[in-house]
Amino acid sequence: MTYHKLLERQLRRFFGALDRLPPELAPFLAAVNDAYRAADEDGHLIERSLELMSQELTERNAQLRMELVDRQHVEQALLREKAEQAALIKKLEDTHSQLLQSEKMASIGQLAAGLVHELNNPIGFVNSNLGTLHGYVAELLKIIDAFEAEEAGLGEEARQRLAAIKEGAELALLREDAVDLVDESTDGLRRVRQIIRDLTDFSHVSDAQWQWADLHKGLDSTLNIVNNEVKYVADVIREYGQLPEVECLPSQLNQVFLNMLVNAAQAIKGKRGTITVRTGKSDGEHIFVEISDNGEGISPEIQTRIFDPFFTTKPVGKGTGLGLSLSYSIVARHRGCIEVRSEPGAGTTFRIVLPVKQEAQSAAEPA
Amino acid sequence: MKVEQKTWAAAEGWRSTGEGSVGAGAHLVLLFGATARMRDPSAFRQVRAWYPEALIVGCSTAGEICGTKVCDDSLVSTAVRFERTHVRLARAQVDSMDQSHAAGASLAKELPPQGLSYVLILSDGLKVNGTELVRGLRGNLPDSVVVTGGLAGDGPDFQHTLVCANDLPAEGQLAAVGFYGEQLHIGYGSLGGWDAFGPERLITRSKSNVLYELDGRSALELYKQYLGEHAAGLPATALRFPLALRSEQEGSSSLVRTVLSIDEQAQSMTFAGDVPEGTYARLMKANFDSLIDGAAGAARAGLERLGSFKPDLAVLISCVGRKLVLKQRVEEEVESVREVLGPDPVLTGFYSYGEISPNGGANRCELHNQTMTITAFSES
Repeated sequence: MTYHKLLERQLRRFFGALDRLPPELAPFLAAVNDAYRAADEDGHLIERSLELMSQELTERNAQLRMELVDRQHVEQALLREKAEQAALIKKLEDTHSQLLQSEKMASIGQLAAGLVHELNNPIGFVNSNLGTLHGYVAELLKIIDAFEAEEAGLGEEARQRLAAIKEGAELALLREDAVDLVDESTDGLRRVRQIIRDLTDFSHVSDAQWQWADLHKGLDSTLNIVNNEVKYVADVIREYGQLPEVECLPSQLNQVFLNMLVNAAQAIKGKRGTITVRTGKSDGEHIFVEISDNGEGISPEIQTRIFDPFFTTKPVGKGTGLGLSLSYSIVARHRGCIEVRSEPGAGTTFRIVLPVKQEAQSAAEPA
Repeated sequence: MKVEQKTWAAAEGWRSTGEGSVGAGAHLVLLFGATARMRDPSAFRQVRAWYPEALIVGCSTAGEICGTKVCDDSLVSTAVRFERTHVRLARAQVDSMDQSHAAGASLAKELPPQGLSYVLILSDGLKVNGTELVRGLRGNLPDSVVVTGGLAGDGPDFQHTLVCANDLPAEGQLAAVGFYGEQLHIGYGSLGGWDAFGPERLITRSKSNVLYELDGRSALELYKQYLGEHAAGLPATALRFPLALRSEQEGSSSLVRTVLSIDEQAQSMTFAGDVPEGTYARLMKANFDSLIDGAAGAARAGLERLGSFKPDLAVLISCVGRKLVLKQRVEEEVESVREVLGPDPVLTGFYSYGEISPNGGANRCELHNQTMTITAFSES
C-alpha cells in the first residue's frame, strides 16, 4: 500500500520501518490514509476554486470598470449635448427677443420715415416762406420809415388821421416785434427740423449695415429723443473724450444708448438727479461709453439677472424686460461688452466697451 | 406506533438492530438498499416473508441510513405497525423525463383525498425531473396534505435506480404512500448548509432541467475548469459544486440544484430539477461544519412541527452530494440528527438523488438538492 507522504513519515517516526507494522492495523491505516488524501484533494479543490474565482472576479471587475468609463463618456456626451441645447435655447430666446425688438423698431422706423416724409414738405415751404417773409417785413418797415419821413409835408388833417391809424395798429410795437417774431419762428422751425433729423438718424432701420460712425452724433441724437423723458428728472452732463469713428451698426448702438438713458432716468426717484454720459478710449483698439446715474442702484442679488430676457423690475406694462438683454446682444454682436457697477442708494454705471474696428467676419455678417 | 428494524450486510447477513416487536402484523415496510442488493429478488422475498400483510416500499440508494450508521452495499428494512393510521399505495411508471408531471398527477389522483394527511413519495432517480413530478403532485393534492420523499440513488454511479412499490424493485417506477388518520403527526425539515461562492451567473440557455450555458458560456466547460483533474469523475464529481438558483421573481425562494448526468456531445448538464433560463446561478461549495449544522437544523424544524408529540420514527433523506463530500465523516450528520431527536426514535433513510419536502413555513412541497430532509412520525 502506498501511504500519503505525511502518514508514511509519521509511521516511520513512531513505528520504525513500515514492514514492522502489525497487519491488523492495515484497514485502520487505509481509512486514515484515505482521509489524508481526501483532505488534500479537498484543499486543492478549494485552492483551485479560489484562484479561478479570483481570476473571474478580477475579469468582471475590469469589465465593470470599462463599462463605468464608457458610461462616464456617455454621461459627458449627454452633458455636452445638454449644454449645447441650453446655449441653443438661449440663442433662440435672444433671437426671439431681437426679432420682437427689430419688428418694433421697424414699425417705429416706418412710422417715422412716413412722418418725416410728410413733415419735410410743409416744413420746407414754411421755412422758405419765412425767409421770404423776413425780407418782406424788412422792406415794409423801410417803406414805413420813408413814409414817416415825408409825413411833415402833409396837411394837418391827414397827419392826424395817420397818427390815429398808427396808434390803432401799435406801429411802434409792431416795428419792434415783427422781425423778432419771424426770427423766432425760423428758429422754432430749425428745431423742428433737427428733431426730425434726429428721429431719422435714430430710427435708421434700413441702414442696418456696418459703417464707420461718430458715436457722439448718435449719443446726441438719442439724448434729444429722450429729452422729454429725462429733462424733468435729471440734468445731463456730457463728458465726451476724443473718439475715433467706430465701425458699427449705428442705429443699433443708438438703441443701446436709448435703453441705458431711459433706465438711468427711471432709476432716479424722489429728487432731481444727474445723468453723466462719458466717452473715451480704453486702449488703442477699444473705446468706451459710460452712462451713470445717481439713482437708487441695483441690489446685488438681481445684478446677475438684469441681462436675462424678460427680466424686469418695472411695474407691469412699463417694461418688457427686453431692453438690457437686447442691449447685451447688440454689444455682443459688436464683439464688445457691457459692465455694470452699482451701489444700492448711490447709483449705477453701465460701461459699454467696443472695438474700434470689427474683425472681417463679423463685419461681413448681415445685420 | 411500533417500529422494528433489520439490516443486511454481506459479512453478517440479516440481523435485527433492536428489540423487534412488530412481527407479521406490520402495515408498512420501508426498504432501502444498494442497487445491486435491491435488484436481487431474494431481498424483497425475504422481507415479504417476514411481513406478509405489509405494504413494502423502498428504493435503491447512494448510502443506507440505519440508526446513526451510514452503510454502502447493505439493506435496511424498517417495519411499522400503526395503532390508528391506514396506508395506501399509489404507483406509476415512467420511461422518460417528459412523463414526470403526468406521473405525479396520476399518483396524486390515485390516492383518495378523504382523510389523507400525508404522502411519502419515492421516485426513480434518473428518469424523472423532480420539479415536474412535484408540480404534478402538488397540483392534484389538497393543500393541507404534506408531501415528503426523495429520488432513488445509485451510489456514485448514476446508472440505474430502482423503486420498490410493494413488488420486486424496478427501474422507472414511482411509489406514493398515502397516510390516513387524524392521530398521525408529521414533522418535517429540510436544510442544506452549502456556501455559495464566486460571481453570480445568468442562466442564458437551458431547457427544463438541462443546462447549456451560463453567461453565454458552456456550463460544462465551467464545471470542468473548476474541477480540474476531478473532471474525469463527472457527473459524480460535479456534486462538489451544486448550483444555488435565485429567481428575480417576487416571492420565489432560492433553490439548490445538483447534477445527474452530462452530455459531452450536446455540451449539456442534466440536473435533478429545473434550471430555468433567466434565473441566476452561483456555484456552491461544501463547508463541513455548516453541512452538519444543517442536518441538525432540519431535525430541529421537524421536532418543532411535531410540537408536544414525541417521534417514534424518522426518515432521513440526504443528498448523495453530501456523502461524497463528507466521506468518512458522513455519519456525523446523522449523529447530529440523533442528538436533536433524542435516543428513542428509530432512524432510517438513504442518500438520494433529490429530496422532496415543503420549503420553509408553507405546506407546498419542492424538490431540493444537497439537503438533509427529515420526516418525523408520531402517532397519538
